[in-house]
Amino acid sequence: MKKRLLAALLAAAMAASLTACGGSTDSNASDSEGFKILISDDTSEGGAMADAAKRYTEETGIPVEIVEVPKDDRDTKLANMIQGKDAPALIRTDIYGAYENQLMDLSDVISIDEFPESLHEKIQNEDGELIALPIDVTVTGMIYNKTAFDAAGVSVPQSEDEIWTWDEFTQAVQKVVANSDCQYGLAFDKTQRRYQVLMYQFGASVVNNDGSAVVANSPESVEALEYFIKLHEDGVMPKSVFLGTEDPSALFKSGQLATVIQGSWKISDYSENISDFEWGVTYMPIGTQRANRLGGNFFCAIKDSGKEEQAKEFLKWFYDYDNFKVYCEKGNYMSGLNNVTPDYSVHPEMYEIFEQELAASGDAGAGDNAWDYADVVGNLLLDDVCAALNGDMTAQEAMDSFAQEVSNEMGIPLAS
Amino acid sequence: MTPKKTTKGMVAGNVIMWVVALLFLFPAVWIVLCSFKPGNELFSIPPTLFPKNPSFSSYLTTWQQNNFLHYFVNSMIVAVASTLITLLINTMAGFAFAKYRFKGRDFIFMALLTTMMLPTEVIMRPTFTVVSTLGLYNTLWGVIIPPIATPTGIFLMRQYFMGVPDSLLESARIDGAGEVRIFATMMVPLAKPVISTLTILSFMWRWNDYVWPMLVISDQSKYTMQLAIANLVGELSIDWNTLLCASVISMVPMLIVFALFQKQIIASVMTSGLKEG
Amino acid sequence: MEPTKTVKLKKASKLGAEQRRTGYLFILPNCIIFVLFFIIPAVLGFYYSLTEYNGFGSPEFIGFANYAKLFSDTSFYKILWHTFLYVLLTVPTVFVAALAIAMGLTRVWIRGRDFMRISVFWPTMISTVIVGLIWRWIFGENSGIVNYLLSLLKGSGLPWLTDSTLAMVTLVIATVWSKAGYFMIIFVGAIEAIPTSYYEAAYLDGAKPWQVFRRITFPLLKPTNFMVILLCMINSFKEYPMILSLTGGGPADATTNIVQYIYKTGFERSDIGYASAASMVMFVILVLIAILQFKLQKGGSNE
Repeated sequence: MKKRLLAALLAAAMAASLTACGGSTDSNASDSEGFKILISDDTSEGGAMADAAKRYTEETGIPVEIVEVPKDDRDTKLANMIQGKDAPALIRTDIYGAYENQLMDLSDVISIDEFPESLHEKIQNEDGELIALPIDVTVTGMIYNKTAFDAAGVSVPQSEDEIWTWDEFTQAVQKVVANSDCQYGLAFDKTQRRYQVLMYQFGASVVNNDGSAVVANSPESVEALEYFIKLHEDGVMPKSVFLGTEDPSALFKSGQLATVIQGSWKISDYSENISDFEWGVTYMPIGTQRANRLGGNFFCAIKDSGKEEQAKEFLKWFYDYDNFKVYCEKGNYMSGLNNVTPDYSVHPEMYEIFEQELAASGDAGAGDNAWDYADVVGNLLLDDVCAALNGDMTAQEAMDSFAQEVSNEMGIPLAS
Repeated sequence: MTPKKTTKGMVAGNVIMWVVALLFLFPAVWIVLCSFKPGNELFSIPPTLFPKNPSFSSYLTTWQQNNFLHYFVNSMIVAVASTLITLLINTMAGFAFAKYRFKGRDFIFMALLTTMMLPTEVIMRPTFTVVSTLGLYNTLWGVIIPPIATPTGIFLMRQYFMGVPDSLLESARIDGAGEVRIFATMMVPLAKPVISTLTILSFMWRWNDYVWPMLVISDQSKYTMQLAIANLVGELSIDWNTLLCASVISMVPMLIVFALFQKQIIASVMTSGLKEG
Repeated sequence: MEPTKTVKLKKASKLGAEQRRTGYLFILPNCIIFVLFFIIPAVLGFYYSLTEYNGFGSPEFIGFANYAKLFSDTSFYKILWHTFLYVLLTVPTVFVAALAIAMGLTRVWIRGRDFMRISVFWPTMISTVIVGLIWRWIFGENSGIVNYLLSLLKGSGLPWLTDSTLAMVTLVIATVWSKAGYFMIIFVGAIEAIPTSYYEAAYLDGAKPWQVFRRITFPLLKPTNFMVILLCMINSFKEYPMILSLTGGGPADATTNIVQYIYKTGFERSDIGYASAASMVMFVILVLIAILQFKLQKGGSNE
């Protein structure tokens, strides 16, 4: 009885694995023509790259295989693929400092002038080679619960002239919380990039603008952190995000947040999944300056992948005006190409405000943008901010320790 | 045996056990119920137990859009194949460690157990070097083979066979049976309950395995369920609808395997009980 | 142990030779896997721990510098303590829960045992990442159902994931939920394997159920107890995906364990050498625990 069962299972498994082998030969991405793109976060962002790859295959007949892994595993996967002689031709990434030496010069694919000037330093290596092509640019803006603001009789800035200071903002949302169903005034994602927005608005940064010194423990930086802690202690921000694992999007969707500082990609999610209240986009508060943390993704091409030409051909196609525009619209991305303005299908007026935030971001944190220190120190800034928030150390201690570690690991002196 | 008539203690015991069982059941049931809620209902306050407008559309999109059927089949191949091999080699090893005396036995046993305790996560790089040197890179065999020698399996088998009286082996040997035959025809049938247990455990480990597939597989056509599910959790945006549905779908085969073999465990225990009586 | 009776010596040694051969043959497949996928990587890992290596390019030999850095890092000791604390809290809780439930579910007078076994075992079959997400969904401070129910009862919820102590409690709850069923099923097997005649004698002598458990069941379960404690301890040391998806190691680093620390340094900060050094330390700890327990329990044998 048992033996027969086992035999049946075994036969089934063998048959299944045979079919699987047959199936995998169909996807001939490893043939001479096709190539692989390593990517993360495509599925959760709507699968725009998978869609682009499909369109490319339909137009050219060249198979493109998308290899998607979670962001935390992306570098491991890349190293493994290179070691396994299966290097992807292209990788879509936000950080590439750790493998800069493995990247191809792409200056014959597209001119660097097609991309925003603020990114030029970041996308070239020391020899002036163009090693990364911007795809989408991410900026943050403020999304607010319109129903709650209306209920509390509080209005949001209607133009750039009416922008709140941080203190005005705090008072406004406290009034909203007191007079509506909202529990908290503000939240933002638990990432150091999001914290850096606040940092820059307070006039602080990790390294100075020419990247010659670490200034993460400047008085401005400590003030920003103290303000951040105070926002939590006053109950304006929920501790459950930075100290726990609460998803700010979930909080906003449940109507508990008056405002949330997030990227433009949230617009489509909220349009789909919020029906109990009205919401809108407004301007982020100003500190000593208006500021944003420029983020985004880049295309990098791996040297010696054996698919260098295919990669370049694909990139030429991808950065074609029309193709690029479709990609941005599919994923609701803000364009990393200067002359492309996507027509967003939902709430285009909201994206306009994000565009204005981008334009107003100035050169705050320019040094941070050009340096890939996140490769070396990881999420250390986030760790130290959380430690200070948890009361494990003071704001001054947290920033001192962070600055010291960046200085040690990057070999850049502390500002005196 | 135990007293026959119902006492107050028994009633209390029944109540307690039911409460415990329901507590264990609740989180998973809650997730199943939530998976039928449309996106705008998932985060509504106050939360409702049952979905107001139950929708299957998330399941449909999960299943179709993301090629989940394909990943499901891959996971099935991996789980079934590695479970079969695990059963074979772990039963052999467990029996040898329990019933044979040979030089270095205890040392090898300890070495096997302790080294395998090291989580693969922490030695990923060197492990990958071995996998790619052996040509297992990007093959389902690369996912199937490395984790088959489970320390728990060896341990479970060894503990079980240690409880089998030596006299049983001795009498078979006196009858002139060879060691391999004794193992195959006497010991394996005897170990049915523990084999069933290991079947469930092994299937469950391999079905839920994330590290090995992540290391080894780079063709999306060879992805397993867990790899596909991991991609649903974006850095900044979690697609809760799809994630909940995918999680529920991934639980189903486990439930089936358990239901199948759980009966067998009980049945085998009952038969052995009868023999004794 | 050794065959001492001279009469049987010859026969025993001949038999012994065949047993030896079969023994080696039977453990061979496991040993091959073990050497290929554990010994070699462990040795390579040790080599990496002596190098400066970011995962790309080639490693650069730097001697024991990574170890020196590791042992002078105060956060490493903090992480080690969190790891031990989690193990110390989960092992006894899971052990007692699994044994108690197994005892309950082996009583013939409990109705619906099959259903209960499935409901207790079911959580163990869910991948640990999803377990973490489920509990995050349930214990979410502002959107979770537990705090919603608490707020109905006493007006406000608890900071389940933002208070260091409560976060650890939440982890233990999730661990018991996801692991107890697994050990429960092992206990059920062992309890049901105990011949009923043992109990009959005891009950004829008028023993109370608790006495029967203490004098008969528990001692007979000794090998199983040993196994459950050892496996549970090792699982707890290694637990990473669930902690990551439930608490993210937080608040701050209050629930960060050593595997997460290794992962963070190795992959977030691209410092494979340093991460390998931490792995080696973890490995030594695991080996010591296993050896210690093995000695204490004399290999879990019945004698």
